Amino acid sequence: MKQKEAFEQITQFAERHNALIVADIGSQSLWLKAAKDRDENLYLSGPMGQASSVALGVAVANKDRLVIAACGDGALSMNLTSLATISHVAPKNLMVIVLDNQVYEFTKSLPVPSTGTDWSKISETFTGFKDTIDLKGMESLNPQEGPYFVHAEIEGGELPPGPGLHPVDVHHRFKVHCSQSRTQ
Amino acid sequence: MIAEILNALDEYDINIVTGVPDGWLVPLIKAISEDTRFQYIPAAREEECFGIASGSAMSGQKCLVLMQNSGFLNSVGAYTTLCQKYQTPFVVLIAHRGGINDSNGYDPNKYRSFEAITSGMNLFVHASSWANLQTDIPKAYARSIGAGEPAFVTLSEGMKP
Repeated sequence: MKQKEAFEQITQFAERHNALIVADIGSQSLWLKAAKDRDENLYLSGPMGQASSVALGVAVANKDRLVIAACGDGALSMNLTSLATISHVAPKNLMVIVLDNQVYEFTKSLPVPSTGTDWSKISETFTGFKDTIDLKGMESLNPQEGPYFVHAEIEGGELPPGPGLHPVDVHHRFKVHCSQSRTQ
Repeated sequence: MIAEILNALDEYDINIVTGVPDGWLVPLIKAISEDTRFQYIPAAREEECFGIASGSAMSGQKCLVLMQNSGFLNSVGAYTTLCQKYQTPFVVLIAHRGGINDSNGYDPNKYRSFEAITSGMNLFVHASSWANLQTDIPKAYARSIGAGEPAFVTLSEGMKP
């Protein structure tokens, strides 16, 4: 599966479940925007590896909404401790997806150091996660009974279309959406 | 004193707290963890706290971060690329180890580096005390919202018994 197709599927899933999505720097943010630019999307264009932590903050602030962290495999490898933190807190409304193409797509497709990592065993290691599934399995679960870890194996090497949005604009658009959603 | 601090946090709608423990902050962390008005998120690493707080802030919810000064030193990259770039407001309460009240031989370098880096980055840092936290944290939060950046509040000692 190409990353473009993965984000189209993730976006359709998010729309069905009224979900918020936090996407990592580079490929994930730009492919998410290319799939569909939504007010519910929080694109991270600076901090590599922070999507899982930011998504945890979004999840505790929006307990009635499903929150999806869309992480690159290289990015998540930089913040693996966040999986321990999420496992401990175990927010039911959080889903962490790793887009696993085994390369740094924006860095000439150099291999990531996590090529030997078995992402399918995350919920066995970090036991606060309810289950580890793939993109197909995502369709049949109850997204408010997590947290779930989704291992999405994708092809590498295709750069996404740019440019992204300005970080401050992304922040304010997302905050307005969340604040209005909570008052409705 | 702790009860007054927690009441001040709640009155200012600061109900999400994240952090990595420091010995000086333990009384505050324990009280927050046991109080149902708050959700405390113990992070494995300080860098995560800046992500968690930014996610809360960008959702329109207030968050307090607790850590030792060395924790900020671990987090400068995330701070610059996330908190500064996205202009996320929140307060970071720092146990500022290695100063006049701290004789531990392993802490002075943390003090010097925190002072040098926050000064070099021109960050807002307010030196507070346990007695003043109940007023300083809400005031620092108001400033962080107005300025569109985190505010640092430091303590130079543990709470007296």
